[in-house]
Parts: sequence; C-alpha cells; structure tokens
Amino acid sequence: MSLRERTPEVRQERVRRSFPKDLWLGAQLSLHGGREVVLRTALTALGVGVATAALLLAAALPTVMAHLNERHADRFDYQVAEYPPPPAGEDTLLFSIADTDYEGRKIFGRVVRAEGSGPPLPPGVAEIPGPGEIVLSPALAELLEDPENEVLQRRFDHTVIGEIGPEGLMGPHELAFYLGDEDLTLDSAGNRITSYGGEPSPSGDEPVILLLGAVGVVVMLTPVVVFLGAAVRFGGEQRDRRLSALRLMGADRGATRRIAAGETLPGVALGLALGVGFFLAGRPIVESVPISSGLYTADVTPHPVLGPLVFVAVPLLALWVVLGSLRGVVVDPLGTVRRAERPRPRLWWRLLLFVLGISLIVASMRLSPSGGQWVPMVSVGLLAALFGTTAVLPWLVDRLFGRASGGPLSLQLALRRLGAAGGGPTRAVNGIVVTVAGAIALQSLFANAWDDSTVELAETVEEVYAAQEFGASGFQLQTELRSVPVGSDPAGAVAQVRGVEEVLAYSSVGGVTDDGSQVRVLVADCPYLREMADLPECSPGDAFSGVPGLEPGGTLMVGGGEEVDAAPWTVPEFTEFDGPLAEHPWYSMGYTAQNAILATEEAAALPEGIAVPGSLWIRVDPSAAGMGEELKAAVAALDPTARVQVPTASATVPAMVRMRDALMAGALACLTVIAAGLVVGTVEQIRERRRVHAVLTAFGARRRTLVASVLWQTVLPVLLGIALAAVAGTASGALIQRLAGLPVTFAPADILTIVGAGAGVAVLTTLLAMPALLRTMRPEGLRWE
Amino acid sequence: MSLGPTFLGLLETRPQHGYDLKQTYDEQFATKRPLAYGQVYATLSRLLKNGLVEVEAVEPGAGPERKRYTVTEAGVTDVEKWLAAPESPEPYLQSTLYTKVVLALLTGRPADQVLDVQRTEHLKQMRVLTRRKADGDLAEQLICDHALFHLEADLRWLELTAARIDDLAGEVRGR
Amino acid sequence: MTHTAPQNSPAPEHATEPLLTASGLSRSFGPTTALVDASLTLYPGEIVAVMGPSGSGKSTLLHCLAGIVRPDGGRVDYDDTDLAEASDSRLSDLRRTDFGFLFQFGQLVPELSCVENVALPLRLGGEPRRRAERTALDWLERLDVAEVAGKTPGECSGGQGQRVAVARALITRPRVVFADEPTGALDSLNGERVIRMLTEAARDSGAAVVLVTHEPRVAAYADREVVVRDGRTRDLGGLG
Repeated sequence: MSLRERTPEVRQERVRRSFPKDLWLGAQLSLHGGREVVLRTALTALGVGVATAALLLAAALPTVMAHLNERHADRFDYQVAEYPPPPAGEDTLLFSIADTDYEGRKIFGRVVRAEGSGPPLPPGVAEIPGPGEIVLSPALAELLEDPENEVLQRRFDHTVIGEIGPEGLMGPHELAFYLGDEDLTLDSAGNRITSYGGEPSPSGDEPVILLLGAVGVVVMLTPVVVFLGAAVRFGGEQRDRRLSALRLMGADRGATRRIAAGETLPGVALGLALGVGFFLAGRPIVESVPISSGLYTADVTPHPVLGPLVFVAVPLLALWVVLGSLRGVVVDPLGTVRRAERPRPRLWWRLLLFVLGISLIVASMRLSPSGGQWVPMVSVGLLAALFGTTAVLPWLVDRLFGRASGGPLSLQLALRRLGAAGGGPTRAVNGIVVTVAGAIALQSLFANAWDDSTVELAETVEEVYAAQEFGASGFQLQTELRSVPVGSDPAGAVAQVRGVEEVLAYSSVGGVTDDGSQVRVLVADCPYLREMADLPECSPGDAFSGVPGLEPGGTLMVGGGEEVDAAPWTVPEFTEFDGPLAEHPWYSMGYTAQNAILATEEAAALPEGIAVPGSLWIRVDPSAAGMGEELKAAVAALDPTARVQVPTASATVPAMVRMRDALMAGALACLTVIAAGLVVGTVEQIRERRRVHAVLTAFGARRRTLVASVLWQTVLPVLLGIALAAVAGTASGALIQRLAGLPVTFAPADILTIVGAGAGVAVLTTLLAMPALLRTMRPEGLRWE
Repeated sequence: MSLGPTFLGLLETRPQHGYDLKQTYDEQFATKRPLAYGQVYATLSRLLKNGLVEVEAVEPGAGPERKRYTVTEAGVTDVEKWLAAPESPEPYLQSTLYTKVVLALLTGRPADQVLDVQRTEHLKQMRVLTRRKADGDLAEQLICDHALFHLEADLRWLELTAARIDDLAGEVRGR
Repeated sequence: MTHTAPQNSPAPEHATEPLLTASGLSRSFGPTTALVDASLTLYPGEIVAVMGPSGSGKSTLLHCLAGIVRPDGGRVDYDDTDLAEASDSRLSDLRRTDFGFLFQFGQLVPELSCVENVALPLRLGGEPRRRAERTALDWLERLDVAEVAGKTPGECSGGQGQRVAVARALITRPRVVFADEPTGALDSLNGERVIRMLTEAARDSGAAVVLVTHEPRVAAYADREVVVRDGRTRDLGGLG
C-alpha cells in the first residue's frame, strides 16, 4: 500500500528534474569515471585555468591604468605650482626639473631644496635630501651598484639617504632621483611649491588601451577555445556510451545534454581555481617585466566588477564549448550517432561580420588618419573581418578534404578522416587563422610604425654631428649651466673628457634698454667671441654690438628675476658689427648684431649678485667611444640640472620594438596552445580508432603508412590554416596600409618565423601523438573487450 | 510423425494416387527410412472411413487398379486444426546421449572426452547436412537446417555440461 | 562448384605438403595465459574450424598463426619462414600478400567507402588506386554487394558490411584467410550467407581458411575442426 502511494511521488520527482539537478548529476558521474575522465578533467581544468588567468589579467587592465594615473598625479609638481610663486616659507620647496637619460633610458630627476622645516614631501620620499644628498629609486640604485655603470656613478656621486617608495614611482623599473642642492634659488630652479599632487586627469589613452586589451583577450581566448574543444571531447566514446545508458534509463535529449555539460563542471571548477592560482602566481612576475617603468604586483588587481564577471563568463564559455561539441551528435538509448551531415553553419552572420570588419577598418581610416584612436578601431575591425573569414573555412575544408582523392594511401586515409571528423580540424584551422592572421596583420599595421620607431637620421654618427655644426670651428653640442661660479673653469673640466676637442664657455645675461627693448649680453674671451660672429678683430677690452640706438656709457638693466632685482650695467665702448650670431640649431634664439652685445670680460664685468647662467659649446670627435655618457657625467658635475643632448644616427623607441616582440611571442604562444589542443584531439582520435589501426596492421599496413597518415592529418589543417592566415593577414595588412596611405611593407622574416613555427607545431604534434599511435598498432588492439 | 494430417495436407496440393503420395512423402519428409506401402494404405483407408478423403477416380493400371484420392471439406478442416494445434515440445529427456554423458560423469570418466568424441561425430553429421543443403532446393535446406539446429543444440548442451562439470570438479578438489 | 578439399571428413588425405605448421605455441598476456601448447597444421585449400569456449585462446592462436602476435614459445612455419622469429617487416609483407583477414566487427575503415575499403589491401601493396578499385568492384559484385560500393560502412547493414569484408579478405588472392568469428555479430540468416560466401569463394580461389568460431553450424562449413581448450589444441581429426 505504501508502495502504491509512493509511486506517483517518485514519478513527479523525475519530471521535475531540472537544469541544476542534471548538471549536478553529470558532475557526480564525472567523478566516478576512469582514467579518461581524470585526464579530461585535467585538460579541461588546464584550458579553463589559462582562460581564467588571461581574463583576470585583462580585467586588471582598468586598475592598472587607474593606478598609473593616480601615481602620476600624486607626484605632480610643476603642474600644481602656483603662479606667481608663493613667498618662501617654512612649508615651501624649491625644485628644478633634472630629467635626463642614460643609454637611452629615461631618468626622472628633481633637484630640490627645502626652504623651511616643513616642506612638502614628494610621494614615496621620507625626507627632503639636504645638500649633496640624494634619494634614489630602487631601479636607479641597482643600476648604480653595477660597476659597469661607472660613468653613471660619477653623475650620482652623492650621499644616498633613502629610497623612493612605490607610491612615488610609476613602476618598479623607473629610474628616478631627488637630489638636494643648497644653491638652488627660485630663479635658477624655476619652481616653488607648497604641496605635491593633483587631480588625475582622465588619460586619453585609456579607452585605446582597454580596447587593445579586449582585442588581445579575444585573440588569446581563441586558441584556448580550440584547446577546450579538444579537451571536452577527450574520452568522448566512453561518455557517449554513458549518455546512451542514461537515455535508456529515461533521460530525455535535453537532459543528456545538460548531464554532459555537468560532467565538465568539476573540470571547470578546478580550472577556475587553477586560473586564480595561475593569476596569483603570475602576478608578481609583472614586476620583473622591464617594459617602460614596469608595473607593481598590486597594480594588477582585477576590476571589482569585471573580476567577478570572469567567474561567470568562463563557466559559460566552457558550457558553450561542450554544448557545441554535442552539436550533430544524437544520443539515442541504444547508442550515439554522429551525424555525418552536420548542420550547415550559418553563413550570413559571419559574412556580415566580415563586411562589418572591413567597413570598420575603412571608416576608421577616413575618420582620423593621424590620431591614435584608429589603432583599436582597426584592430577590432580586423578581428571581425578575421572571424568573418572563418565562415568560408568549413566550406573550404569540406571542399579540400571531403572530395579530394588520389595521392598515396596515407594521404587518402588522412583526407577522408579529416573530411569525416569535420569539427576538430576546422576549429584548429579557425584558431590558427584568427590568431596568426591577426598577428600578421597587426604586425603589418605596425611595420611602418616600427620603421618609424627606429628613425634613421643619417648613415653614420659623423654625419649627424656634421649636420648640426655651428660656429666657425664647427661646434656640435651645447649645454646650459644655471650659473658659473666665479673662478670656476667649466670649459676646462669638460675638455678633460676623452673625445672632446674643444670647449667654449661664455656667460650670458638678458638686459633691457631704457626704451624697453630686449638685449642679450654675451661675455666671453676674444677667440670665443670670434666663433660667434664675424668680428673684424678682437682684443681684451673690446666689445661689439649692432643694437640700434645703443650708446656706449648708457645703462642696461641686466639679470633680475623673482628673487633679485635687475642690476644696472654700463654699456662699454663697442665696435659696430653686423650679421647673425652663431647658434646651436636646437637652441637657436635668433640672436643677431641687432639684439646682442658681445663683450670681453675686461670690457664689462657683469654686476655681482645677479644670476649669470653660462653656456658651453663643445666640439667632439663623434667616433670616440663612450664619449656621450662621459660628457653627461662631466656636465652633471658642474650642474646637476644641466643637460647635454647627444645626437645619434638612429633613434629607437623601445616600446615599439617590444610591441613587435610581444606580437610575435603572442602568435607563437597561441600556436602552442592550438598545438596542445591538436595533440589532445589527435591522441583522442587515435584512441578511438585503435581497432581500425589494429585491423590495418593485420592487413600488413606498414608503420610508415599510418604514421604518414597521422602526420598528414595534423600537417594539412595546420598548413592550410597557416597558408590562409598568411594570405588573410597580409591581405588585410596591405589593405590597412594602403588605406592609411602608407607604403605597403611587411616583415617577411617575422611572417616566415610564424609559418615555420606552424609547420614545426604540426610535426611536433605528430611526434607527441606518436606513442599513442604506435600503441594502437600493437596486436592488443585486435583483442576486443 | 502424424501420417494422417500429413497425407491430407499433401492431397490438398493436388489429388494423388497412393503410390505418388508415398513418393512425395519420402521426398519431403522421410530422411532415412522410406514409408512402407502397408502403412500408406492403412492410413488412407482410415481417412476414407472417417470421410476426410474420397476416391476421385479409379484408373486401370499395369497391375492392380489405381485409385486417385482427393481431400474432402472435412479433411481440409482437419489439416487446419492440426496445423493450428501446438506440438508439445519434445523434452529429449531420455536420449541415449544424455544417458551416456551422465554415466561417464558418474563413473568419473572425463567429460571432455565424451564431448570431444561426440562433437566429432556430430560435426561429421553436420558437415554432411551442410553439403546437402548447399546442393538442395529450399525444402531440402529447411529440413537440413532443422536437423543442424538440433545437432547444434546437442553440442551446446554438451559444452555447457562439460564446463559445469569442470567447475564442480574444481569445487570438489577445492574441498 | 569445385571443392578442392576432400569431401569425406574428418581426416582428409593430403597429397601435398602442409602450408602452415604451428607447434608448441605458448603465449601470455600479463598474468593471463592464452596459449600453452598449441599446434595446428594447415594444408593448402582446406578449411579448418577452430572451436572452443570463449577465452580458450582461439583468437590468440589465430593471431599467432597469422603473424600478428608473436608467440612466447613454439614456432609457426610458413614458406620456409618461422613467423615466430621473422622480422616485423617480413610479417607485414606476408600479411599483405599471402594472408587475408576477416573479423567479427569494426574492421572496415568508417570514413572510406566500401569499394575503397575493399581496395585497401591492394593499395597497401602499392597498386594504383584506379586499378585496385576496379578489382574491388568485381569482388563486390561477386559477393552480391555491388550496390553498396559507394556507401560508407556506416550506411550498410551488418550482413552487407561483413560481405564487403569478405571481399576485402580475398581481394589479394591470399593463400590463407584468417577469419575470427566472422558471423559473431550477425543473425542466423546473414551469418549463413556470409559463411557460405566465404567458404565458396575461398574454395574457388584455392585459399585455405582458418575459421575461429564457437558456432557448430558455422564450423560445419569447414573440412575439419580443431578444438582449443585452456590454451591447448586437440586435433580430433583422426579420432572419428
């Protein structure tokens, strides 16, 4: 009687079986499987793990940008300096910008002087360095410890009193210093502030970087999807039998699908955990990546909204892949049928995608040819176009693999197998096309960019130096010193540097005539004056000018600034001269006889108490080794805020070269992931066919026939993919370049590398699948269960 | 073999003389022993008496005169009834083969040997039948198959018995 | 029909030399012993049924005879070659040229059409595709399955598939056909048809057949039988 009552209840229970319950059942089933299930779970976990880690990384991009922006704003100094400058006080700080570079690396530098006991502290700095004291960033400190950088050490020969903390640096690899200097005045420093930091300005680059990041993630995820597709199929035969049994027990078609999906859940869950592990383990590594200033571990924190979203998106992605793998599979109570005729992929939306992508590229070109905004637009358009291209692939694969006949037996076997397998190889080819063609196209997009990034200024260094010669003796370099202390011999100090042939030093100060016109007073020895202008003759005590209306004995008010008043200076007797003054082409102010007075020291000592900046003209032997850095060191010793610009034959922007490396590395990484997917797919495929292989062996098939057939099976799709990718990539690249009005250039070496890597991947895949193949060729394959 | 309904059935196909009837019967059903004439005529007269057959014509022959028999309505009904009634399956419980095997086992002789000897004999017979089948028409094939399936059943039973006895022997040794 | 083998079984009188002689074969798979001391002599053109309960070692014996499995001990002499010692490539060559194979199921390459499947052994031997497939078509006709030539095995019935397999086993005109439970997956009617066609075609082409089966009715198509029990053979040919 109780039985009769319970029966309907049980039936109810069955009917109410719902989505989560089916998933849960599937999950439980997967925990009781054999070796295959363990392997499949592991592979799924690996794929999901990589996807999760990649997405978490992408989700951290906004945080990275925000952190960089904040830190940048936190150390705003001249940007927040008031004008007119506040009066000196207990809480004021003077600073001078002393940014420089060392062997192409930028160094952020400030020379500072506290004017009281409570000066504002730059972020990350505990104490304003006193005279001769310095605070260094860890990267600069490290650089200075290296004995190889002896030249740099001379530039920073100060007492190190501390390190700049992370909050005061853009990244762990930024070179930065704060140097104390008691001689700093408002006039020579130029900046007085009472506090650091301002509001971060919304960076214009942010959406660009986010979009590029998104494109990168899509490209990155494509091979992962290929891999996952192969992983969830692993042990498929066994799964099919299990699903058939479930159908026999009364599960409907939808339920088997859900149960099949559920079977991957443990793998997905494990993968999510693994992904978090990868992410956490990989996060500290970013600190060691020396691109630009680098990033701190703490910067790479997933966005509070996007991060959790990853944990929703990845399982959905995995489910999508699983359900996709069940397409064309009919699970019946008595067995699983793989329909040879799979549903025709819908062409129109992919073609639409293709058209959209191309239009996006064209539109972006028309929009703003010069702005940076077109890069992400083109990238997204490119992705759309590439995914659109994959629309023709099933058709193409069918065409090439389905009908082809002829050739050796191994080829026939491989072609038929590929034609029958459908999904797997097509997916691999899709993956290759999207990632590799994407990489090639992006590369061609930047091919011009990195031609630009290495600016060829001249054939040789000598030529560059020659190009900027000035003055009668052909000086090439100039540097400005904020002051030349009395009795010092800056020219002599610099002349010590090996490779320096001649140094000319002069002081110069601005003056105003009675009628208000600006006149530059340049004071130097006779030989030097003659370098500057075409003078009739010169002896100590002479002066020269061509300023209209200027009378000897008249008064000029010279010097003068925020702190000191201008001092009167009496115009000495002078000889008229005419013509322009020699000037360094980079620092040209357009001085001529009409607005300058050249004077020997004897003719006119400048008044004391005013700041008199000095200048050095330097002629060097461009071919002297290490001359540039030596010169910087010598000049820095004279004045830490002084800068020497040393010309080079070519200017390389490191970021672009790194971008190119990153693209190559990315493409190769994608190929590797795809290869891993191919190996898994091939091994699984071989295992499924062990019976056929055993029979073929029985019929006397030579080992090399079957090996060749498996080789064809992997080589053909990969080569097809690579060939298509090369064509699609170069074509879209050429299109973009043509549209951008750039010369169509490619990096053939890089393309060849990728193609070669693809071929290598195919061969490697075969090699890795070989043990499984040889195992199926053993007679044991004939002994059925 | 129930001779009466068989004759009725054969006569239903066409009226026949007694001699023809015997020939047809021997051809179709008698594999080893041909039917005795006496049995044929005894059966026919019984059928005649019961109104299941009747004499259609009497023809003078070389020897005695020949009667051609034909089946009556009642006779056809009788055939139908007979065909519709299930045969009780023959249990073969007392066959010689069975007795032999059991005896061999009881006396501790190896069952395998009985099996092997018997199998050889059975297969020999089966090969003959198989060959006959290859050359014969459908009726021949059917009758051979009938015999083949029975012989096969014998062999299967023997295999099973041998296997069980081996198990039993193992158990005995185990104790 | 020409029956090359003598009609009166068991022990036929063999005028010729044996084609294949196996003696003292033993073979284990891990802890499982499949063969202990198996022997078999096969004469040209004769059909020998190998019988015995499942797990008795019938298939292993067949695999050893065909040079698919290397026995742990004993020898298999065929044409002056000891298959137990021959190199892998020699065995492959032999299997390709002199032997044909027929299995219970799963033997046809699923993505090849039936005619391509039948042509496979010829193509493995290096014959050009077109010629191989023409020959294959002849064989399919002969076995009454020409209508499935262009179909894949998945589209055939079990009986058709097995007849395609018979064609494949015979296409190289092998001297020995090894058939392992060829009717095992078929119903009686289809089983009869397949075994009849196999034996008739083999007799026509003069091929010897080693027929592993557990069905006495199938074994009855053979000239004699060998029984394997617990890895040992009992050739009962002469005891009758």
